[in-house]
Amino acid sequence: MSAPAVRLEEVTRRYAGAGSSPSFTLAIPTLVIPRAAWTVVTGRSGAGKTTLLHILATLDRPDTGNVHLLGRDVTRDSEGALARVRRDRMGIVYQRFYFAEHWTVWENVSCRLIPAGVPARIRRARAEAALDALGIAALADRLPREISGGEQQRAAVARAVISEPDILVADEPTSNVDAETAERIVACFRRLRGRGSAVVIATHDPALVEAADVHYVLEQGRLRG
Amino acid sequence: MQRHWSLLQTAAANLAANSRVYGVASAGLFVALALLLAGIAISEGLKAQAVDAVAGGANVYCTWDTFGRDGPVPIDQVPALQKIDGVVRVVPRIIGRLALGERMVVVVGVPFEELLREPFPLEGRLPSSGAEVLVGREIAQELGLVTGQRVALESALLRVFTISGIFTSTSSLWSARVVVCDLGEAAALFGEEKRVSDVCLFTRPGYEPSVAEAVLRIDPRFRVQTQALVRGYVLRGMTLREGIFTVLWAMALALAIPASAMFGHLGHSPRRREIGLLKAEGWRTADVLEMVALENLFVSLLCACGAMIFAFVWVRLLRAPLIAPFFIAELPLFPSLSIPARFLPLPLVLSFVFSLVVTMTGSIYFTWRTAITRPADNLR
Repeated sequence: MSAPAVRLEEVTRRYAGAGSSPSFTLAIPTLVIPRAAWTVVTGRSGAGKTTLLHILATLDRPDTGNVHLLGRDVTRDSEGALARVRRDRMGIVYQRFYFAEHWTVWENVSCRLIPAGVPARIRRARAEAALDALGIAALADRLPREISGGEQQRAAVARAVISEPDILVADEPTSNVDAETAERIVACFRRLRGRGSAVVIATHDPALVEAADVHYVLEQGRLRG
Repeated sequence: MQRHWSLLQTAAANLAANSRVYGVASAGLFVALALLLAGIAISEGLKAQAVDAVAGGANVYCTWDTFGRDGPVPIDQVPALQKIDGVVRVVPRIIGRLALGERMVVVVGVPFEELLREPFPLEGRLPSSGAEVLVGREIAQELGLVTGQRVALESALLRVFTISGIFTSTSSLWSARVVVCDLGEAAALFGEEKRVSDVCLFTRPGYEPSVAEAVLRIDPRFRVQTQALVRGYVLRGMTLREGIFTVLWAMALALAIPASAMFGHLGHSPRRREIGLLKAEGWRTADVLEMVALENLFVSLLCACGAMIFAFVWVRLLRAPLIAPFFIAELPLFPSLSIPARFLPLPLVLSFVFSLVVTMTGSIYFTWRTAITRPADNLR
């Protein structure tokens, strides 16, 4: 039997409170994200969903505990090695989209392919295919500020799926879009899961929760599965 | 290789997309480099002209010791100089400043037969009598003088001459303010019938040192300067001025760099998020550093080449307004004569290297610090 996509063991991550805000601690004894499954993490705002997703996506390191990705312990891997994992095996939809403002939509979508040495012509073709799947291929040459919030959300999803990742981590991927757009995004994620990828979503969207194979709830940094 | 090419293309695209930000950030550097390149070009041009003038001049220059300084030579000493072994030509000269209209000019009086020996570019003809003079092209243009025109040179007495020709010298400064007349006329103008400013001795090759010694044996009151010595004086003077300019330039740069850094800092916040995003998307620190270094390479190349073009236009086409008076005494802030200048490849290369060092210093450390930060912190 193959190893799960992600396994967290005894992970903690503490943030000191700034000013008058209290400190926060995420504490996960064990968390398993299976392959070819749709995993949803829900919880109130401030429960630690984004912190958990950052750790799953190797954007942040836990203070204690171990992180296993695709059967390998990456806890003590170098930043360079983690960057390579993110580039080759992972797709991320950020809570706030984040685009390089001076790059066009297709350049943003395909930016992870630049250090991989993929020629510009192929980068563009792959970006257009990813954008087309989400219905915004016509916006490829626009700048991010020239498109709407919903279109930005779809472009962010296209960026996450362009390399058909083994693990997709999405933070509130349907929070700013209409029902039709949300359906396109969900369809895109389903296709990915169908190909064997693990899809991890932090969301408040009931539709996404309903479609989940695994559902975790976070409460004040503690997991309830 | 494809990875480097992709990063190069991305760096170029970044530069084009952020041309305004980069333009503001590198403006101080551009101005400093343009100033440096213009200064070096003028300095090199002056040096080259001075060296040419010295090389084309006499082998030994004789003056007369007057209170320990160079003074005029009694004319009756000239025959003795002609008899020195190795001397092929002796040219007594009278050099002084007189008013020509509202401009002070340098009047050079030499025996007319000397003008015939070495042909030089001339519009018109050589003087055929003491009533005719040659004027330099630069001053002729400035004062609107033409051949055949009559001009008055004013000293204790006023003498009127006819311009027989307008000459062009290899040194624009030499022809800028010079009026050449017969030695006798110059003697009359300056009231010096029995003395000349100096005596130029042209020697056979290799005779320079022995002639210099022989001159001093004729009379120890002679002060003798060989061509090598004069060349050394000229270059030393130029180097001193160049050094002062470099110090002033360094001070200007000391102001330009913080200004540049300050403008650069304005773009740090978006850049931090951008680097955070790239890292999150799988870029390694080395990828980010390479892209930023390539951006700096482009900026430096553009800055250095742009500054060179600007300096060229400033010095060659506009005649180096504001900067020329620093190198050439008595020039107005907006000179009307063309300024000697040499644009060499080495200063351009140095400018490029210099701007690369400045831009790298300003950005690489920041980029590295940002790139090694956890992506989550940069995106927060």
